[in-house]
Amino acid sequence: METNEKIKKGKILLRGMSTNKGYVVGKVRIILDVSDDRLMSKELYKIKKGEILVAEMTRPLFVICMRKVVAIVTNGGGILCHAAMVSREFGLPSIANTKNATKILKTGQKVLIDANKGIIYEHKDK
Amino acid sequence: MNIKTNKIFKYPKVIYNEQELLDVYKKKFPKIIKEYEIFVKKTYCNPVAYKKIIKEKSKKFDIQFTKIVKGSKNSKDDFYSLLKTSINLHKNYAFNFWLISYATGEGNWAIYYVDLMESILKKLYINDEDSFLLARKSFLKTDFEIFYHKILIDSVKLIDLLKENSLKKILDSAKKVSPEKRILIYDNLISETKKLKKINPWVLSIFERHKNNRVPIYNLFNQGIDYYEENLNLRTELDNTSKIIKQTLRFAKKKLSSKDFNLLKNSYFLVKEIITTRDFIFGRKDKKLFHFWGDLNHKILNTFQKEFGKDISFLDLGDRNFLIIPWVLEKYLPKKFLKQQYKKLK
Repeated sequence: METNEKIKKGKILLRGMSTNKGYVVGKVRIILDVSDDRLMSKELYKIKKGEILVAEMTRPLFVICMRKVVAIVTNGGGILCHAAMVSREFGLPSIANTKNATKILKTGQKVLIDANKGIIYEHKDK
Repeated sequence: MNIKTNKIFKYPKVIYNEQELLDVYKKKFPKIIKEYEIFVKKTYCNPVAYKKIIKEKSKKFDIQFTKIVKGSKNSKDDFYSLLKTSINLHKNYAFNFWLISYATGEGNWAIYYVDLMESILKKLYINDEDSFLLARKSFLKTDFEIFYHKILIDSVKLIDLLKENSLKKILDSAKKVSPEKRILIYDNLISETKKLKKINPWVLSIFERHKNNRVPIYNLFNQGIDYYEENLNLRTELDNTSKIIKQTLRFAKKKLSSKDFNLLKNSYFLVKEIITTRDFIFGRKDKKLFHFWGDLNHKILNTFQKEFGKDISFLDLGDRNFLIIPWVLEKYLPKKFLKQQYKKLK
């Protein structure tokens, strides 16, 4: 996990609404919501420490992975959505309402989250 | 303040979810604009009025919805009747649900109160960033953090109660293996617990409630074993939230002008009400509503093909169908139907 603001930024991939400030680099993990909690839990346990959770929206079950992730990005939501509340609680940078983060980003892709401005950049390795 | 006060009194141009319906409803139900403006005016900085209107809207929505469902059961399954049901459903949804949960609950109207709360808290702790941040975090938590973090909080309670019953050894053995391999240990622990004479009724109720699908219990165990200390701290912090809010409000009453104090208090209670309304009062209606709506839209698409001989199954967007049907059908309808029957539906 890198948090230095001097990290070289790549091109802008997405913009959204900052719901909790912060600056972090990590690998994306797309989680597509399924109503079956059994399958959903299985997906959430796959998340590795230091990854960035990218989902359409989050719901209370998602808290089981919150201590592993370093940031949250959602397609929908706003300042009072579940993901925003949880990210404030865990001190995670978060960006909501990106519209299509689950489509644009790919699992394993390294990105830079600038949740001060609500921008997701491609991460450029030094 | 990012959002100017005068901006929130006008029908919004942007909402963060369901922008599609913001534009569709403006066109199809122009009275929604007036309804929006009346609602925001009546409830401006007034959580009591907000609560009262929400109660009325929620009741109205339920009555109308029951009526529509009942009516659809008694009516024919022809295209015209199905379309009529769909439009009535949209009307009820627009005025009594969407206006509350989305147009106001997710738009600038809701963000305005978060902004207002923050700007007054900044005034209160003008040279004290730490106190400001703690107050901001607490004021934005509302009572529902406990609901959102229930798994984490309950995991601490569960582990504590099992430890009391000398099951610590089994718990410790689970800690040594990865979460995927723990299931056997957990199943063993559940059966050992059930054998105990003195068993806490809360623990038993959890085991009983999830006897057919133990995933929620495994989640509780994993959280309690892997993050016990962190979750304990979280519980303490959440327990202290209402204390911090009460202290901050007392301090604000002494330090701020009565106008600012009232704005802070009212915006805080309004934000709380907005979340309760959106996530609980109306959120709980979602399942029933969208189940009925999904079935109805599916029937509409099938009947369309039967009656007009055109395949429009490409319009089947699954869960998001309700956003476009019946509006999008207009361009695929035969001229005769549009002239004779569609007009009557509007």
